[in-house]
Amino acid sequence: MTLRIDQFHTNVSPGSSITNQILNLQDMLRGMGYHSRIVCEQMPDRFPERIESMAAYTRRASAADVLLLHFSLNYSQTVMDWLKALPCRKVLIYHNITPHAWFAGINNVYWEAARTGRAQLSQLRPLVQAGWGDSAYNCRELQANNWEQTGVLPIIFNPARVKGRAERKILKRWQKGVNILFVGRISPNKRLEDVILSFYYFKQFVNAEARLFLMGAAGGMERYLNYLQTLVQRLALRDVFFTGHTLPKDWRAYYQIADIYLSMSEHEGFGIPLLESMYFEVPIIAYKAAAIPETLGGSGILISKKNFAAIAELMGLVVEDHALRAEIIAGQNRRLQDFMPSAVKPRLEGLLNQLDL
Amino acid sequence: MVQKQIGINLCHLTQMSLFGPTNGTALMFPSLDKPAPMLNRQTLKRPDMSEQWFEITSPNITVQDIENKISRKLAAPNRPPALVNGQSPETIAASLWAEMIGPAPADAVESQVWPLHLRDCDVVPRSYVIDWQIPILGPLNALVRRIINAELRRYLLPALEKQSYLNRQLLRALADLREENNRLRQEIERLQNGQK
Repeated sequence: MTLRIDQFHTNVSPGSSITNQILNLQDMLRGMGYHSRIVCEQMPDRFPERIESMAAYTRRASAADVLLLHFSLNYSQTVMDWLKALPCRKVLIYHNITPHAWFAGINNVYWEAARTGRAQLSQLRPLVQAGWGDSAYNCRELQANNWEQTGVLPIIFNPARVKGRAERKILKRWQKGVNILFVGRISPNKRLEDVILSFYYFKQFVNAEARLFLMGAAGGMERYLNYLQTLVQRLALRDVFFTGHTLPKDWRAYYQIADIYLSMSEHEGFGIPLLESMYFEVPIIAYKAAAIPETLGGSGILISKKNFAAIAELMGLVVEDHALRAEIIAGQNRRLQDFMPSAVKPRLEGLLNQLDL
Repeated sequence: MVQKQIGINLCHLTQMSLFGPTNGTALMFPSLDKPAPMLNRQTLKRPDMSEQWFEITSPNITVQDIENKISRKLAAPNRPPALVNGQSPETIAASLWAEMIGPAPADAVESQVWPLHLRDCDVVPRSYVIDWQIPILGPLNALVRRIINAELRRYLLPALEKQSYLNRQLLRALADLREENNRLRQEIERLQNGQK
């Protein structure tokens, strides 16, 4: 009988990073000969051939099955009770939870959810056989919560999910000139104010015509977005664009016009936009925090001190010095290979072997 | 608006004084978990750049050369100071944060409280904006969305306004009860001390 390895996440939505990882893992598991479905708490109207409800899964779950639990914020009490009752073997895939302190004064609902999620890490431990993290950084957090059997399963970068047409209007309007890009949810841990400050110095002392694109949704973070927009006004800074959530073709276009990817984020469990920047050959300058150095793996440029004037000059050199730029891109291209499906598959096989399937 | 604060301690005072007058009543509930690590929000002090402050791992790149180039640019005699209305951009960002968001997250963590403010009582979504990007179909799409949105708001808003009102009343009632509870505790303590 073919073994079942299914995955659980509260919801799946096209374009989200975790959804992409879930879909890539499902393809990989099916390719390895396992039956694999995605179990959701909130049933989406997409991917009907891949998804099933918690109720349907409960009816057929057996002790021989394995359920991979994707964990990125917190589970509802319904899910916690459901997991306790399931007979199957479970593995937690920890995508990290932003420490709740970052949301203080910004969004109390997130504050509480993040705090609850981290508390659930200890409650989930006796329910599961192992804990896998996207990064060693995430695994260290599991170990700090007394998890013993941990392992790294990196994010899979599947070029097929990225390829496609780029929005021509964006390319035509902004291809010329210098464009700085940051991609990610508008969230205080990403320190977008530091990106704006670096851009201020860049515009003032390096390139007065440069543009900054901050690409990411701001749902629930309206107070923080309001702060950032007011900061841009107070600095009398032109050419800062908050794109909001973008369509895939727009998203591709912003990467294609970018000259530098600048991250000042102070908390990332992995940092998927770093892989996307590698793919689109955008040189990365990133603050050395959390899992970012691990994801870059020696590629890109890591900054250890936030002197915005100096960072702006460094950005200027990366834009102007073509040899430096080419060298950084070459390093990033090499690093990206570590996240291709062919490189991640043996790691998944190794982790599954440890489960004694 | 007069701010009401119960069970005052120094951390609460710091928090209250920075929130400004529009936040009104705040109730602080003790946090049950351990504090998260301290967060470094303040960036007013320029970091010491004498040590290596960036890393490039490539045998073909000499980091020292790049550092020297940057140092020369930063130390150029004709480089004007970066000031906006006499303030550094970093100072503006930090003071704006204090003005619009409140205390730094680290302060909120240190105090180990769960702050609940009047602004949290309002559950009405007010920031939804209808926009469009496609030139021909876009306006039609926006019109349809605007009509649906208006209908939904007509149906939902009265209920959400009522819920927000109820939340505010409950918060005030909780504040009064907590105040009453503190007063009674003190009274019991006083009576017990009198009996001894």
